[in-house]
Amino acid sequence: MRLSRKSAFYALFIGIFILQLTSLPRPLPAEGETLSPSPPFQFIYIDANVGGSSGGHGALRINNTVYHFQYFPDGLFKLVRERWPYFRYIYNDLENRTLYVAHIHIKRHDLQTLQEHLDRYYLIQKAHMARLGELSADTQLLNDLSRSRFRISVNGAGLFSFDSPSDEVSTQLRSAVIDTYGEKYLERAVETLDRELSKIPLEVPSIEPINIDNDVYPPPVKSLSKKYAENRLKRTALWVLDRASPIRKIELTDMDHFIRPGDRRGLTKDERNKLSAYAEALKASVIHLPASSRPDWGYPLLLANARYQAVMWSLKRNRLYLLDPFPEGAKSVSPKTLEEDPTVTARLADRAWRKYWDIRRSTFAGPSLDNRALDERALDERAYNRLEEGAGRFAELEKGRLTGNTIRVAYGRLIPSRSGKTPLPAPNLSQRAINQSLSEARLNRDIYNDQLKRCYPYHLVNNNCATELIRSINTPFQSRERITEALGEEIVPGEDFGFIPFRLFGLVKDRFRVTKIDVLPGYRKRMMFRTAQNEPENTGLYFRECNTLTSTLYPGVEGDTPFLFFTDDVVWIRPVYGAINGAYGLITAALGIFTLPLDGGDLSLAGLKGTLYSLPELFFFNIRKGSFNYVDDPADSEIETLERSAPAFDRHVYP
Amino acid sequence: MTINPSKKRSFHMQHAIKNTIALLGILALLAGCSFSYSSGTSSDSSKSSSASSGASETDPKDAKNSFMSDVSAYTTSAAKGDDAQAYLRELGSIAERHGITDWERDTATYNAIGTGLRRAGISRDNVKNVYFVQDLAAKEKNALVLILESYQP
Repeated sequence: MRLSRKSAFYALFIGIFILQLTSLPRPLPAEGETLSPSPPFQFIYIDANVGGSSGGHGALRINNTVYHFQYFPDGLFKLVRERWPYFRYIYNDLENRTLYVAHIHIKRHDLQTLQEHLDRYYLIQKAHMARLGELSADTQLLNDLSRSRFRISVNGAGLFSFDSPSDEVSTQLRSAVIDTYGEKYLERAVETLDRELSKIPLEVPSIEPINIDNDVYPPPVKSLSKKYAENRLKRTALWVLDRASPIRKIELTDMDHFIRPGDRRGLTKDERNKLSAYAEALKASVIHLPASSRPDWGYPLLLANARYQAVMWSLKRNRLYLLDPFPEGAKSVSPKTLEEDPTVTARLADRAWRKYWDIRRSTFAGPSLDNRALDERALDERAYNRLEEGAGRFAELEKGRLTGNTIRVAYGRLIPSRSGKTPLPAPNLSQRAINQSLSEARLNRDIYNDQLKRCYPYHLVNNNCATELIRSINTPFQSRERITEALGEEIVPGEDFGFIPFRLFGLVKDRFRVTKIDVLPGYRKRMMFRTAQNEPENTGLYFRECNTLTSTLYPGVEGDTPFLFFTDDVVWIRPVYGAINGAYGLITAALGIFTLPLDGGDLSLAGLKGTLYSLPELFFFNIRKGSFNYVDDPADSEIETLERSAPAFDRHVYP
Repeated sequence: MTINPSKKRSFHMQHAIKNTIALLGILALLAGCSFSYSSGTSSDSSKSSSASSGASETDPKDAKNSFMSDVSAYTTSAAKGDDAQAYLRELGSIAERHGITDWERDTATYNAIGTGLRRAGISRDNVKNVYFVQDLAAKEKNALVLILESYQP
């Protein structure tokens, strides 16, 4: 019998649909919400949604860390490492996607081997990106010099005021250093650094034609800007000490400005004691760092100095003052965006307020009688930075809530690092020589970037999130026998359609030693289930929540594309809903013609995309599920303490 | 001309497989993996992903373990090197990503270095001869003792 293309097309979609039905467990909300304590190793399949992940996604969870691969706009396909609660919040809650979690039995030492391999891969990748950053900084430096801009930006210099006179605290710190090293130490050290700078040749060595390998830790690149920046950082740090420069008061946040009714003001006795002890530790750091054998002590010295002054300022005023931890590159959320849903800012601020006080209480908790615990409870940089970050995020959101002004959001760990420009001597080189070095620096950067693209390639079938995950699992075990011994039967990357994430999940289920599968339904389905449990008499719940017009759970998010009916929780009526969604998308696209002069075609394009994502629904497929920018699930203690302001306003920066 | 029935079957089979693969390709094209929408350059991405790890750890114990795990993994990779300054510089970068700038005053750093050296196969007796240990011990008198703590059974 001859198989026509048309019938093959239908057969394929229906076949895959049936495969999906049979190979994946159906969402069972009750199960998902009462997960038993997890064994340490899990393979996670994340079902599809619109945007960049309409084919689903795969990830590995080891203990509390999740590893997965993502394609970045710079053309690199990188390993991402995240904490499980954060991963779950982004994918399961905000992206509203169901997670299928296969628990895999593995011996402890095999799991350790695998995790070490993944961590090593991640660190090597980070080192590669850092090398590229250094080569890019070379270009920036030489570009500035070629335009007669004789200065360089250094982290931490912006924390200090160079115009203000020294104060009591900064003078005390200077005295402590001088008492240790002598009156002329700082001045001489600055002169030495100036001499060393003049000896750094302003030339860029050609990059060696090395093959970048994601399994080998990269050697350092000979970066001109790195040498300059290190030198100037040290000089700035010593100069700040020598001049006894005070910190810029604008960099300090007074946490008493953000107290709410019922909050206590000022510092407690325990807080004062711990801050006093920490001030001594910071002073010791300031004295120790200039003599350190590490080559990069400049920024740590600047930060220790600024923190010492912040702590002393707190003790003097009996109020908690902390340095602003937001980086310069933090995203600013406009008042217009905040006005769109002011309750989100208010809820984020409430959450940040609770978290700030939790951190503050645990940071300054009283000493234990147990000696070891006493040591562990001493305030150290890790704990102090956690307080800086928690307080900084809360203060920012509270300001936004109270004033409606712009707020800053940023991902990841925040360390005070306000940069400042420091002057450079004019180079003793011709403009032509500088331009030649600039050309070489650009070439080096481009060569390295090209090599990185070859090292971390993305390919739809051969190098995607599914194939790289399996490759990463196989690599540390080196042989087929070892893979079999550690995990069960081997899965060859890409084979047996294993490049499709949901198919890979099926292969994992069949070949690895899977002991259990948990299903964590997406946020909307979870809330539907919970509402149905709480309101058993509400027979109209489904009809209210099945569409975007009357749904109380789904607020409508830009980027989800226009649609009317949710199709992820229905099967047989899906094609009908799909047809309506498709028609709705087309109508939206048509209406967009009238708004063309205003939005440049955005509405039309969104309507067409909406229609495109409705097409699979005609064949019983679902991709679109709707998504959220912020959710609050009070029943979920696992993600209770997560920081949510960055994904609320900038979700797609780092999904 | 007659066609061998088995060849005809084989032809149709191949045709069907080709169709299937092509259609799967279209499906995958619709699909693809998770894309990050970061608008930064490579270096920017690397900066943001330090935490890339999306959000920073909220549990202090998690944060400490994660820091120690990275220092150990790096030390294992670099144990056989010869450039102490490069090692210390890289250690500084890793520590900073974990919110630690003055890692010399953090005992966890030395314990993690010890774990890394042990995993790299450096014997307890040879630890003091590792190319960067002298630099560490020069300023921090307890460095060697703390590194060797990881060798205790």
